[in-house]
Amino acid sequence: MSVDWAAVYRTTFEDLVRFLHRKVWDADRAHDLAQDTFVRALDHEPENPRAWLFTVAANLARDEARSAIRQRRHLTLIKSEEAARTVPDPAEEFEREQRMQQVRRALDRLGERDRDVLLLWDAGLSYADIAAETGLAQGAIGTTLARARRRLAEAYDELEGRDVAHR
Amino acid sequence: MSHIDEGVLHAYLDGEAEALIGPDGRPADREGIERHLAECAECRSHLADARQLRDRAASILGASGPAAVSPPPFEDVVARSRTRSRGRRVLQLNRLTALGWAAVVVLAVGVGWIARETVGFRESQTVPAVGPETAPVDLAQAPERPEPEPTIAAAPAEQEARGAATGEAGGERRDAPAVAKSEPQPPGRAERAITEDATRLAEADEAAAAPPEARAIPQAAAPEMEVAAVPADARVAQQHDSAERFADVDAAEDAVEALNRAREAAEWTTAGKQAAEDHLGGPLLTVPDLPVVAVRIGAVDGEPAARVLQRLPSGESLELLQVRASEGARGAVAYRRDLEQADSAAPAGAMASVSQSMVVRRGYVITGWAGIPADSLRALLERIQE
Repeated sequence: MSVDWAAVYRTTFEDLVRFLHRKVWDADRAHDLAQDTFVRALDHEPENPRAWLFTVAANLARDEARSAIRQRRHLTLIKSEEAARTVPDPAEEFEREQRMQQVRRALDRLGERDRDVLLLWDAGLSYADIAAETGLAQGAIGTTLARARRRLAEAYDELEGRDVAHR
Repeated sequence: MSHIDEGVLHAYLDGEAEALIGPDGRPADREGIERHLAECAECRSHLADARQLRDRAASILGASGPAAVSPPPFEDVVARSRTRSRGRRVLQLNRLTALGWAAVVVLAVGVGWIARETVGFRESQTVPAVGPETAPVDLAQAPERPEPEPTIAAAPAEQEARGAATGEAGGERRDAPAVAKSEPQPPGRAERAITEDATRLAEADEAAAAPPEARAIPQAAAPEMEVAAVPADARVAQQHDSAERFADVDAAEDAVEALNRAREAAEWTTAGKQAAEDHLGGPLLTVPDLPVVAVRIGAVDGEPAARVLQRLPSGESLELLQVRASEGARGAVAYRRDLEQADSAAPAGAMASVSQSMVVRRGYVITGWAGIPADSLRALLERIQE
């Protein structure tokens, strides 16, 4: 089966970056890892590109987490013209980072399986792909997602309430 | 009438109802769900709740995404992939070449060994230990004996001697017999060493080429030839030294990691400069001449801490984390400095997009993050007054 990789790249890259970002919590690293995932995919030419990409991306993110300090940055960065740094407003940037930390803490309160299912769905994978990726039965994905969504909302609201109380 | 399961409702909202198996074991169908929803007010209410929950979760997750994603041109990724493929092919070729040479050498040594056996080389080789006068006849006819790796053969004997002299264990090769020059070399020793070298090369190539998920952690085994070349007592000292160094590095890395984790886990509250100084019990330290955009206070490992956001002339943000310096934190700063020195020797392309650096000032550890080169960040932090 011939895969139109340019189309897969166009439709999946952003999802992959978002998915990776919630794993490594660093936008630049997520961007680099997404590129690296695609480089590997072009090398392997898997039959189910999307599922393969997310599986490898998850593994790369896991490796990244294991060696966050020890590992020197070894990936060749590809800087596009569009990626030329725009200067964010520092106050906005600070607030955005605070929100991100809040979401990260809320996600940390979820069980690993719930979190994985939620992030994979949010990244655009189908129930079938999520089931293949996580080893869950396809029929269990809806229930797992429902639970994960509820727990995320509860944890986030609780953390936000606490943060408001601190201010 | 049984109501629709919450999981099915979420699957229905996600457009995945067809992917589900219903309670009756048959695939759930969208029309069936919709028929039921049309008749059941309770399930409609549950559906509304589920939709709200789904949207809320999506909105929360949306708040955590990267600000903007700009994919590089696909052609760049293709080019990288080609480079990677070429690299892998070269590695495979190198591996095959190494294995080919190993096979040739093994074959040559094997043939030599068989030839030696055939002409009675073994008997003649033991003669010199008895007396030189019987040696010349057979040796002259025998094929030339491969040199039995003098450094390897001699090393255990040296270790034994040093171990006896110093009273130390004499290294980890005590059990290896000292091989006298006049004894016959065990068969296959040389070819094993060559094959092992080739295998190591091949393994190194494989490790470099393997994807991260399949890559094994390399074992820190020193090559045999190098071990033999280093005196045993010096080697023991080196091992101790490097073990201590690694212990220090691990402890310092743990401290840096703990600091980063604590910073992320802490609750932070917006505060003014005075409130921050009250909280810290000391001055709020900032880089002079840079505007302060925001100050937040919290605690890191139970210690009062402050985070300050300053704006650089380039428009970049500089974030500072100030926390009282514990012993561990001081070690972390020293280690971080070593890392930064090492990094400064690296090519510019290897520089992290967000640099991190640390200094100790007035009993506080100041950690800085900014999207500028590491040496520039270091220079900025150095400007924080003692």
